[in-house]
Amino acid sequence: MTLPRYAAAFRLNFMVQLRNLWMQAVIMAIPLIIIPFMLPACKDTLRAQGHVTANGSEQALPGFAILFSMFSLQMVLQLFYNEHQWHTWERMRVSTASLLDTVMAKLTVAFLIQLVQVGAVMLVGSAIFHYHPNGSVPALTVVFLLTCAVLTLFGLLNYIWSSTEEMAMSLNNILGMLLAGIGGALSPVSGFPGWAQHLAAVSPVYWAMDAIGAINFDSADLAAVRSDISALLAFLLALAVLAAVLFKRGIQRKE
Amino acid sequence: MNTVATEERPALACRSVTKAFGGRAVLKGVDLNLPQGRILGLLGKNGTGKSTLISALAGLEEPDSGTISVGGHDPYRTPSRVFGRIVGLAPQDLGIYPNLTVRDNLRGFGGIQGLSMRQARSRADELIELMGLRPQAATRARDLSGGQKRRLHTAIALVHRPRVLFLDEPTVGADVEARTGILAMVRTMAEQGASIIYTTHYLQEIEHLDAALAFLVDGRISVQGPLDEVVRLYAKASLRVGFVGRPPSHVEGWRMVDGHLEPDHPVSNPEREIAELFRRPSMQDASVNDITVIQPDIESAYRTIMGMDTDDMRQSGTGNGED
Repeated sequence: MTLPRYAAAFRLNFMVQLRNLWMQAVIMAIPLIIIPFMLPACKDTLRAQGHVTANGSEQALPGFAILFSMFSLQMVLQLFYNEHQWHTWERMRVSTASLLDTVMAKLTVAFLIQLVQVGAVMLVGSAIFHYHPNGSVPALTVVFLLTCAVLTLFGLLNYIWSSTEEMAMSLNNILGMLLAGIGGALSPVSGFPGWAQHLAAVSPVYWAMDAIGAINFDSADLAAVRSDISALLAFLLALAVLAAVLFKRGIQRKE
Repeated sequence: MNTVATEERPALACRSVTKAFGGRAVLKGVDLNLPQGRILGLLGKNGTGKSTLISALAGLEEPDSGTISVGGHDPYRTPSRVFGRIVGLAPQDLGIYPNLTVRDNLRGFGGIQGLSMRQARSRADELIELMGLRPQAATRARDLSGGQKRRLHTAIALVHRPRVLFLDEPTVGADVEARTGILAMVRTMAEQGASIIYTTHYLQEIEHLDAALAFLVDGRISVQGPLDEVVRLYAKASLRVGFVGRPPSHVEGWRMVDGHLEPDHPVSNPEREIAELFRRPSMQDASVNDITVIQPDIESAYRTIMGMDTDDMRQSGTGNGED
């Protein structure tokens, strides 16, 4: 990988993405529209679990931020599939940028898409829905950074695995809902049946929501959520290894 | 392979290149030479593997066997930062970012091809001027006309001044203005020392470019050489006889094409053929109003090399641009 080529590929992908802002705006707006409808139910659930001062945003805001961050992976998938549809992939492959330069540049843009998505929903949502975590904001930031990175690699793996764009999009939405749902983004895992609480741990969203819950209600700092952060790092590493192993074959299938 | 050889050092050479897809052999041992600063017209019927060969030469589709050298480098053993500087590719399908402007497409690909931001800006402006796209410079590519898109597509391949250029049917769907611009650009690039492989179904373009020719037949290069030599060796003269009123129903050795009589065999002496035609009994009542002697040309050479008759030419769309 060479820095100038990576930077050039990043600039090009970033320019392309900037012309596609409407879709990001829609995916950012929808959770902010839905959350008010969810707040009463979330407030009741949290208060029933002993969080007597909860206003519901502690569950609804991060949960929906993460759920829609999974939906915004559609834009990440398009970063790759558009190159095939526009026949620019061949040009990239015959350029001075290596495959690694191209993919790393796309992943960086994809990561930024995730960050902007989660960041915007959390920042605007905090102001609107009076979300005030008791614990460490830097810890919350680290959790969201790691979650975005994990989701970005999840999007890459989906691209590698799926043979068509339609399949990738469908899989993204189905798996997104599933991972977010069983991970506790829609309602707290503590309210799940026992078997489902055990199953929840297979979703990276579970570890993110677990850390966020601790930061929200237990005044947790980075040290207090280190096991959740370690789990997210393990997901990140596993997905990165899988992507590296499967990437070449996945690309060849699409060329 | 029949080769009408040149002595120049090749910018591109491939030997015994083979490629099969799912057990179907597309390239069956291609040998090809492209001298420095020359244009090579790669001709062949649809589906004969021209695009596969270009993909193999450009480093996109590794051959099953054989060797390829482009600018002295093996495309599959050379780092992309080196090989990408040498080659430029305009694939058959338009490869542009539709949501970026003409200028941003050129600047973006300039950066990808290793130009600094300042160089990419300056080269983009230069190409916009050369391709006649100045009024559209700030227009998004998706809003361009078909011909303008084709010009942008070709310009992107030239952005880093490659030494070896692959243009796969660059004028398909282009209007006259776009075609003229693209051909002028290709000639300029060759004059500046670039070696160019150019595929097309428009044989007039090959004459316009004064390109050398290579014919891909059944997965192999069957003939390669300079245009005039190929025409001299393979093209045949022909005749077209037009009639007033009803043409003769059957003349042995001749056939009816679009109301005209044409010989169904190569013509070496047009005067003698005409004289013999008029001696036929079936011609006694015919009123001839037009006799055209068709001189040996690239179309005729193509027909001979491909083993086609006139009807095949019409069906394949190869010829004077009737694609």
